[in-house]
Amino acid sequence: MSVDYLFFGIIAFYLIGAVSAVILNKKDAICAYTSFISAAIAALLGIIFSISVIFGDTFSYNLSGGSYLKFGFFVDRLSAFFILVISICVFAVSIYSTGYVREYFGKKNIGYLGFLYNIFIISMILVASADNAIMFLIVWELMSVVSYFLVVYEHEKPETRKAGFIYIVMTHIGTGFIMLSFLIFVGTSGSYSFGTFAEAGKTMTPLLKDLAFIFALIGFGTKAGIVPMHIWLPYAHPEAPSNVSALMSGVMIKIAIFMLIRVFFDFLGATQAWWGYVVLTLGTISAILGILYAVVESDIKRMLAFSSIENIGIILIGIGASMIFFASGKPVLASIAAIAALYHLLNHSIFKGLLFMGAGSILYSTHTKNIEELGGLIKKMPKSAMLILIGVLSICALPPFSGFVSEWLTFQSLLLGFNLNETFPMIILFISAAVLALTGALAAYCFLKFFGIGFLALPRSKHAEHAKEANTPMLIGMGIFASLSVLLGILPFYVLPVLERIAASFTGNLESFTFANFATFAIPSSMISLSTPIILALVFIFMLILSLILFLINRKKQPVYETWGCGQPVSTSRNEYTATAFSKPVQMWFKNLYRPARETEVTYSTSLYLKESFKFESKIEQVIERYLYEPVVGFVITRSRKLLVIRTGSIHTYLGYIFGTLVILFMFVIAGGSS
Amino acid sequence: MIAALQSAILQIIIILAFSPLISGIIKKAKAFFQIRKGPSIFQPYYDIAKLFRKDSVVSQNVSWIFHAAPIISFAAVMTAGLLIPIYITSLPLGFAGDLIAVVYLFALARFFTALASLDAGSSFGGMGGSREMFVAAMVEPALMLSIFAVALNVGSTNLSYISQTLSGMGMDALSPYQILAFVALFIIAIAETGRIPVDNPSTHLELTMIHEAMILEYSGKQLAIVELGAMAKQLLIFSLIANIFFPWGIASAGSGISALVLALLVYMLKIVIIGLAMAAVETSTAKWRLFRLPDLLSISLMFSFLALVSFIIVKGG
Amino acid sequence: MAEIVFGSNTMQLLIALILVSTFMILGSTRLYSCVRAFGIQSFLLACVAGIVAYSTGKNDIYIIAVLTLLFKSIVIPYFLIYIIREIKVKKEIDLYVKISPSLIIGGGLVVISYYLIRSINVISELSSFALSASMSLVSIGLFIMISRKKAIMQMIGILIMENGLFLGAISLTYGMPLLVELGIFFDVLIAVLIMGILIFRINRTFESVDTSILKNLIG
Repeated sequence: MSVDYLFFGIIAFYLIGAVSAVILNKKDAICAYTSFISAAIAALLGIIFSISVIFGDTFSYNLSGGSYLKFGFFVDRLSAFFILVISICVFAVSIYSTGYVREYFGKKNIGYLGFLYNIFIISMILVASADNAIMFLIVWELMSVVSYFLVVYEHEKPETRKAGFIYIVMTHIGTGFIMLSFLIFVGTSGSYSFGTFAEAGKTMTPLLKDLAFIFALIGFGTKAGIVPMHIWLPYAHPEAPSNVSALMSGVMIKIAIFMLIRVFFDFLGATQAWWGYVVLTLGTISAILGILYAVVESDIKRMLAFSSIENIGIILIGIGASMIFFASGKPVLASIAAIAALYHLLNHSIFKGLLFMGAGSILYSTHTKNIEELGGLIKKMPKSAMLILIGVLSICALPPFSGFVSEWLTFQSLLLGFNLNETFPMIILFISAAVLALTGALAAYCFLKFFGIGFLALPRSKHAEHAKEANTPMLIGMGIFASLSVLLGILPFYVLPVLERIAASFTGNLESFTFANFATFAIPSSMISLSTPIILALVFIFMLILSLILFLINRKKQPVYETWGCGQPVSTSRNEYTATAFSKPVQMWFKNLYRPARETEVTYSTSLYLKESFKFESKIEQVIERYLYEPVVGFVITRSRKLLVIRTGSIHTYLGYIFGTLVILFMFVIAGGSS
Repeated sequence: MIAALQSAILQIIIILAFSPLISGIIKKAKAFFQIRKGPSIFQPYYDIAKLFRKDSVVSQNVSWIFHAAPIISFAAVMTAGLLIPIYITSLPLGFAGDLIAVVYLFALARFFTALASLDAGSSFGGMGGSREMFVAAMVEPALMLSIFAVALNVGSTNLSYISQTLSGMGMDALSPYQILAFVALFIIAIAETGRIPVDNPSTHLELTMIHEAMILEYSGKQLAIVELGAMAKQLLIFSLIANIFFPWGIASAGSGISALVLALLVYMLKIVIIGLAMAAVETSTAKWRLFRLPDLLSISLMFSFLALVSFIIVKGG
Repeated sequence: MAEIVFGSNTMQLLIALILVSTFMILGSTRLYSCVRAFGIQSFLLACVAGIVAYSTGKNDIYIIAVLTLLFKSIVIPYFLIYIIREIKVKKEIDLYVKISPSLIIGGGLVVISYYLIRSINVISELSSFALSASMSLVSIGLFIMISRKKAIMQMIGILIMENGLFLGAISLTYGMPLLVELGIFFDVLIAVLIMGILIFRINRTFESVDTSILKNLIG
């Protein structure tokens, strides 16, 4: 029973946050504190609740007793895991938000933001716990609409409005496909309750199953940002306020992954190997395309959004591999791959949340998110820089930070493909591993650019020169995430058993890893083990010894001099390498993909040998938008124009249309009745 | 416990003591091929000793990253050194990581060196860092595929297990997929150790450098650490190749002293042969343009892919 | 018998090396290194034939091995280098398909050949590596002919195809009857000579050996 109270306590606190935000609308500071602190408390309750579900029984609660439309909540281990992820993120982001919204004091309506923020989180929690297709679609729609309003929070900017428009259109197309998929289930089971969907999945014809799979993949894939349904993501995430971007990238797109796992494994039983191939391939493509666009991007938040596409891809690679293994009757391998995916999902929520909050801090103190105008921030905001560096190291999957463990697991689960003894899945798994390796290296490239250009060397503009350290709540919020990133990296020993329980709830296999001394975990079938604490300890020991040696032999003060510039006095920010130049090699390498267009403009003073100014502009093309969406949109628009002929403006014609429709309906009924 | 510690320390000492020598041997061999006299094979020791006695001049623009980077990189390389079998298959800390962990430790080292290259605000540094990461990105897929090819052969990425299994197989270890993976990994080794045709280790022109441009701002003691780290990394990559593809002669756990000494000698011989092969390749090819490098590395990628495919063919998929 | 010979480790190594040499041709942009790689490939092929001859004890296969060594790995490469020197062509190969995509296509061709052989191969499971290698050689040879502009590369392509056929024949039946084999040999030799002469003529007419210029011949 106490679990019931906990669950409703969570919702109550979010509602308190939302209502108080509206009531205290006039007083910015108080409003911000009450609404965000109440969200943080609710998040703490959420953490307790989800842990108690993961280690205890599933939670279910019926709101109404009817048999056809039974509204209720159902939280099993899988959904509890996602509520856990949501709650952890919300906790840190809420604390961060109390500091971040100071930027908006006096300029924007804080109450509105607080209200939407809390409702957004409630809707995500309800999505994870809905037990009924109708209720699910309602809260899903609520989530989409509220997040739309959050995206257009800074609606005075035209690009924000455009981003919001693309987002709302794409998300509705997605919802349409979700409905189709659910209708297929409902048609077989005769009930809207999710509990009956699994039964329906067993009795459906293969064709219907395939259709349900495809519709669910497109529908939820749109929300998750899988290529080619990703186009809204790089527009919407950057335009939202940074704390909301952190939640959207960190949590909201993961909810779609949750539903994908739910539909593929629980409802459809993951019986077809080719579903796994499709998911794996889409994941691989998303990973590589996402990071390729991220590398050449110089808007920080847009870069992070593209990187979210990449990470969703990595998660999907794990899920796809898991589906392939599961369909081939290898539940142990399936659960290792699923654990890899879940681990990466958790990690990504945290480090991407951290990086979006970091981007928010940069925006807060420099008022720009263009990487080319930054530089030298490590001296102006050292604490933020340290925290962001941890996020960067995690996302680059460098040992012993969190991303490393999950990417290592993903590689190992792909390598485990050799147990399949079939040629095609092996080749596809290995190609995916090669692409994943490329993705990882490009991610390092991308975030090296972000940190190196953004934080090191000299400030490149006035914005960066006048940067200040972020305020305390922001640092605390980021600090929570940074420490979690480190802990998830060095303590997989404690995290993996939990994930084993969660993966067991849909793959049915409980024991995937063995655990040994020195916090080592091993995959017994391939005799490999990993111990990140030992790696960390070794690195630390070597660093300590080396620093000691350097300290002992280095008695004198180090002489300080200008940077080497071939003997010329060039130590100014104008001589620094720019972000565009830094990522230029990749742009050249993949120029068939980027299709870069460059324009240069030179003005000369007096002589042709003396250049006065040089203007360089380089643009890249979004291939999928250009060649997949634009033709479709163009087609729809021209066809729609043609349809204008039926709009005559005469009331009689309109009445005639209604009459015609009625007649056709009558005929339809008569035809149906006679047969 | 004590024995494990001794063995680990011994391994580190061997790596540190031997890695400048192999650099010296490669330089000497190159000089021999180019009909020059060349510096003594002990020159790298003198260089490092000299650098350790000198002061480091640092740029006025740098932050703590610049000072921490050499130490972190060096520590990462040394940690990788404890995960790679050198002359004995039993590794006291081998359980802490496998081949993929080694790859990522090298990535950690590279990441911090490249980060430091941007810290001084020099265009050369940025160019070097950018190119280094570019080459790394091209290397990575081929590297991962050839790791997979090797791992498929024995069913694990555990390094000491790989060398143990393969050395037990005798001449059977030379299978077609091993050969193909070896060719792939050799090309990768050229790229990873910054040798011609990818990078020129002895150039003096900032615009043509990759690794050297990246560490352009370092001097004195810091430069000594960076150089030593690079040499150690080179030795470790050679050791990987030696013990994965030519594992014969490696000692296994519990061998006597004489067997260990023999294994160490065999190991040195193998490393020197790989070094000579590198020198021959460096002498016989010209440096490639940066944007032709994707071709070279896709050759490597294809070989590792072929290794996988031929494994599947031979073992009958 | 075939199983034992082609399942042996040495043989598989040789075949793997033949694949390596093929990809060296595919990945190279220099004429000389292509010719050299072709020489190496033929030498490896001669070794294959030699081993087959040794383990089956058939004398005529020895003759074929020696002929392969003599002609394909020495005479023809020298002749090709002679042509390149004589007509002073640029040492770089112009490509229709760039190197990286070429290599990827080559890798794809190997996989496809493997699938093809697996679906038709009923004779022996163990020689499937040799057979799929021969199939890949044929297809890669054809691909080289399609994707390279220099006339010399068309010659090398057809020679690779021929090597592939040879490998296939020897792995299926230990080589065709001696007479047929000899016939093919002289065919190839004559073909190379004729093509060499043709290249001289193309060069004299167009001042280039770029076969894409031959388009000008259509009326």
